[in-house]
Amino acid sequence: MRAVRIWSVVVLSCLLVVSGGAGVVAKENVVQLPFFDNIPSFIPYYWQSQHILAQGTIFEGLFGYAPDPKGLGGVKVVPVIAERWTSSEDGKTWTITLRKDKKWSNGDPVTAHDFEWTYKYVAGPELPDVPMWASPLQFVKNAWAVKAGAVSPDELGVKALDDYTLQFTLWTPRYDFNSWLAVGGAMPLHRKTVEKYGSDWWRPEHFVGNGPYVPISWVERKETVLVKNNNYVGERGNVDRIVLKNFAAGVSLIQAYQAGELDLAWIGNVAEFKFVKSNPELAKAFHETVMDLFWQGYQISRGVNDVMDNKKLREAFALAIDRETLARTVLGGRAVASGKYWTDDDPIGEQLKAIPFDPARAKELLAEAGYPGGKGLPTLKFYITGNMPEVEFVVDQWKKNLGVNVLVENIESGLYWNQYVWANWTPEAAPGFTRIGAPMNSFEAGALLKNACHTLWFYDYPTAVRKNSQEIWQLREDYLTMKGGLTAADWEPLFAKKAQLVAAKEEIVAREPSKHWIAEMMQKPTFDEQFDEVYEKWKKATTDKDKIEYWRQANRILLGEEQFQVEYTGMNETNRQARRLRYEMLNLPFEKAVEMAPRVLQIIQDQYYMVPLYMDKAQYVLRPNIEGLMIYKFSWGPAVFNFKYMNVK
Amino acid sequence: MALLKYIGKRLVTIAFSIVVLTVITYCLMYAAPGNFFDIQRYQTAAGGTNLSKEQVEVLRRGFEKKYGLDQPLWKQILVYLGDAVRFKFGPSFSNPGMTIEEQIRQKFPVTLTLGLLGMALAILVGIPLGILAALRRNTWLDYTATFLAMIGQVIPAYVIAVLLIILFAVTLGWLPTSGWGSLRQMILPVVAVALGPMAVIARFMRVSLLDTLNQDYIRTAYAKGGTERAVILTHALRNSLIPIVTVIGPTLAGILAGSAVWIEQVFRVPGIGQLFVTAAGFRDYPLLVTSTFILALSVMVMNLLVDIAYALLDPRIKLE
Repeated sequence: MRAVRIWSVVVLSCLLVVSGGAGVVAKENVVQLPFFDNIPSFIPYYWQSQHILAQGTIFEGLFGYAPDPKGLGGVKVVPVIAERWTSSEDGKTWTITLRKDKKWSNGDPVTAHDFEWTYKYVAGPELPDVPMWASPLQFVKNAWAVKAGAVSPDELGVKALDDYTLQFTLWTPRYDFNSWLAVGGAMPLHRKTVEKYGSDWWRPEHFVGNGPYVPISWVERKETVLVKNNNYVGERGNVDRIVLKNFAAGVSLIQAYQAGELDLAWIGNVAEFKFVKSNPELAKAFHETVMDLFWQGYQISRGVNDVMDNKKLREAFALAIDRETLARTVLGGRAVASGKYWTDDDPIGEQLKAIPFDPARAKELLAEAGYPGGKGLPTLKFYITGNMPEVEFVVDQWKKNLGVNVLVENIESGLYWNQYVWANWTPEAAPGFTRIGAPMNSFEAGALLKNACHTLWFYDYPTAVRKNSQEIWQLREDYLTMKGGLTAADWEPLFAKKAQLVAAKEEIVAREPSKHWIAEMMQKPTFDEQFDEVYEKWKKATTDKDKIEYWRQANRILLGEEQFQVEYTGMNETNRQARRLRYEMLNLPFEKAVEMAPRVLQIIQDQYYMVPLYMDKAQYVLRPNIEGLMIYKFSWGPAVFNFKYMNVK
Repeated sequence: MALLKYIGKRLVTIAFSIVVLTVITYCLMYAAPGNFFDIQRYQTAAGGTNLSKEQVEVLRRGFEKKYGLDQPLWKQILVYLGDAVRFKFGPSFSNPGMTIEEQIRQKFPVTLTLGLLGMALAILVGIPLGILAALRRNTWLDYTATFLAMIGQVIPAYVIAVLLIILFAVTLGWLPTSGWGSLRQMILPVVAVALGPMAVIARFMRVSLLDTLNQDYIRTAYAKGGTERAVILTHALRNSLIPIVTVIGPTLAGILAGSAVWIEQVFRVPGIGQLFVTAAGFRDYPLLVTSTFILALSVMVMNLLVDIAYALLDPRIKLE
């Protein structure tokens, strides 16, 4: 009998070994994904790739993103740590009740105090270079004064009313503030960890997060490993371990996918696309989705020359491009043609009228603009950087359909993006065009305009007004180093100018029908209040250095107001009309703003300063056993994010 | 003693050159239009929120204060040089969570390992290949070796890298496509780095050995009854190696400063090259000036080592 027992144990042991220990050790679900070239740290506030990793993966905010096939970009904003919330009628006070069951990865409860402390820390002097534009903090009362060091972080408009109630006081109405709370810049930090480890709090060996996953290893520009946060409370997929591999832009991921080292590979160019389609196994794993939060096109160059002020000329160029052929041939089917900023399938795009391809009308417009057959048109330039075959196609279309030669000029990338594409004005730029791709950065009302609102800030003015504004802006810059203001006499012209500007402002306010725009113009402290405050400081100043500084500040305040008034009174009617609608849109909850956006965008699009051509497709191969992957389509995309919905079948 | 004196002199020259180079880099950097702050701000901020001029000023001041950009240029350069002597470079604009010195400490050894292993492989294969070609001049062996060397030299390293991946990782499945750490992961990047220099060394070795074999003292050695093996190993090889040393130094420096960057990118090797590649385009000043600093230092030190080795190999050469 004893022998039988012994043999039974031996046989059972052998079976277990042969079966690989099934039933004893469960197999781990591991997913290997490509990520951006680099994850420089896990600090969620800086505008680097971790900003995306933070959103719902290693951190969770009061709100977050969830899949929504019908939503813009396939996502929607949902409450995550927030249980319920209210906003005051004026949109300036938001009170949020938190769930009581949420925990940090070390088991500590997530409370309203964590959020209050975090926002004060992020707004405070320890992080002077945090890009506030990527954070809801920019709307919180006193945030800018705290960042400038003028008031203490304790004065910030955020307060934990109790352990699970958080109240925000904003300096400006934001009816979409909840959407803002989903971005990386709104995530909470674990106070004790930050205080204990200082600037090293984010390293895997110290890291305490509240998201469904936590990083356990990290090698910059190589690899980050995330594992399940065992203290996480909430819905989550069955993936135990996520390996994020960093690949430099331009490197083919397909081989790594074929070798089993990645479970997803982005297709980076037409050659790879053709290769994937011709390979039966890869073709079966192929997926694509339109990057509908990002339009691709061109804009009129930001020079100060008045040639392109001619609307008919701009329209002629916009109508002379065969976008379908561009998408099919040059872009190899890796894009969809689009003569508007949104797609036909989404709630904004379906109401927008697209710019058509109409070469006959384009020719007529060119003649009506005063340049029949392109005769008399000065040399136009299309500024590019690097390799942009789509521009070659567009220029060729203009030659073929309008008879116009446009010179293509290549500019160094840093200079190009900084001074030719995203800039105030570039006086040295010749009349012509630059390439632009403009995204929505997050779910907030203003972002629905996808940066096409630059038309309102930089283009839609008569040339004389634009030049005048540019000169005032330059003078304002010059005052950074000018000397003066040591005597009271130096202030006399400033007081006269202030009185004149105050009177003009009163007239503007009396005439302006948009209460929201007036509210923005009269935001406290108004320019004259700022001026008075600086003047008081000047009176008390004891050193020449301080006196000069206050005098400079006063001049710059007045010049800022003067620039505003010059722009306001001189802008085209289309600009004024679009701005009024935009201010109305900004004062709506996000869902309502979506309904309003087409009206603003149509006005902007019809000015043909920023002209859409196509939208890219995110193309990839994915292992068939992986589902629930969310594609990040905001700026930086395509990428994968919000891994809590991911499952391995 | 003469050697020590020579090294001392050269180190002073290197230090002076680095200072001059840093000043020039700073001046060029500031002369180039555009800056990191505006590149980030314009691409992200104006979309929806349209920050006011005052708000932008607050952020700009915070940014400039953190990185010392609010100081005059001469002061920035002095502070940088003072810190650089202590190997402190501070954080970069694009990675505020980490200091540059920490990044260099993490990444430079990886690049150096890749470079040294690649160089070692290039020497181990390149020298015998060159010898073989020289000894069997104008035979199929010579033609084959010369052809292989030519191929290695004319095909860019990143093309070779992709071919290696397709053959050994995807088709044969023997090695991983990318990564760094295990021996298997290191093979393909090292081979990809080595092929170019290997070709250069093989060609130099061939020419150098042929040149040596035509010298009078070699004929004398044969006349005195020396066997081919003895003459080549004892007399010809050592003298033929001297020009090779001059090639190895700059080639290694070239790998560190150039070709390794591509290979690191293709094979996902967490080395220093990739770190520096994006610095210029984004106007990441601290990273940009430090990359120049480190790469210049590497090249200068490498040249110094070559000169020393050169003198040790050939006593006729005087260090001055």
